[in-house]
Amino acid sequence: MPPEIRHQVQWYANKGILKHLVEQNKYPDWIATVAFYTALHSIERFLARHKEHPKSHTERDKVLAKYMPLLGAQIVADYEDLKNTSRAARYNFFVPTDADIQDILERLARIDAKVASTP
Amino acid sequence: MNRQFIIDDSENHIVLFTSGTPIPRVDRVPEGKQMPLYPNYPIGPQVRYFAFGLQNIEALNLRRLVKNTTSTAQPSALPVVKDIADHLEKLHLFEAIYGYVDGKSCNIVAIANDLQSSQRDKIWKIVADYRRRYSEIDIDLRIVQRRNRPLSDVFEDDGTAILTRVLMPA
Repeated sequence: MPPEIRHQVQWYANKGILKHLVEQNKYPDWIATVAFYTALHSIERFLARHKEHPKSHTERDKVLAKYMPLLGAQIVADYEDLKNTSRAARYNFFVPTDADIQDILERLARIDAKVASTP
Repeated sequence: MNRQFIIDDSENHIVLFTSGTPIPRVDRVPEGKQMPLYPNYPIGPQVRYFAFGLQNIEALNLRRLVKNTTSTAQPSALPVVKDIADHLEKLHLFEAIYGYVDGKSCNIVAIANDLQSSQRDKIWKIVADYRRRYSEIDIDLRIVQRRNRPLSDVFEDDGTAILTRVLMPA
């Protein structure tokens, strides 16, 4: 399976889990984490189109910075913030509020829309 | 920026930098000297107070700590972590900024009580610009929003273990 399609499949699966978590409204920390990994596969879909296949978060961060002129600074900020919130939820006992969840979902939606509309 | 301590944690040599007035610590060591952090590094009461009473950061003038793992740090990475810390400090958004260099990795932990989404966006754009400018260096920033929690409720993971050890002795 081509890498872009592989990431699309995983993105789709993650979106389903995220929808379920949001509907349940019980596990805001997991919403943050699943939202980040959904965004990650969205970004990977975009990068795969450009034959970029980063093997770590660090490498992905660098590649993403390189593509900032194409994606826009807001998308890079959205991705970074989702990553940061996910890490905070996993390692710093950060519990996102309803307002945080709204922000998380808006950031993910922006990333998905940009990836869908950018060659 | 004044260099305050050099500490040897028996794995790496760690240099802590602070800005502002030197902290009145009885266990402070002169620049260039080393003292063991473990097992019984005598953390002073001021530092303990800082750890558990973050509101006193301003009083202690301990707004920023920069750690340099000198034994493994790539020399070109150190000015970058300092530059980023300077840049972030000028935003006046953080209670503390802590950074260290490990190899070619610049790692920064910036602590705020709470930040708005737009404020975080501004910070991420700064980080992305540094990543583009210094593509040979790995730059990682963690923004920690304390939200009125004590630091003891915030730091548990390995990634910030050194921060916990230095600022939050058992």
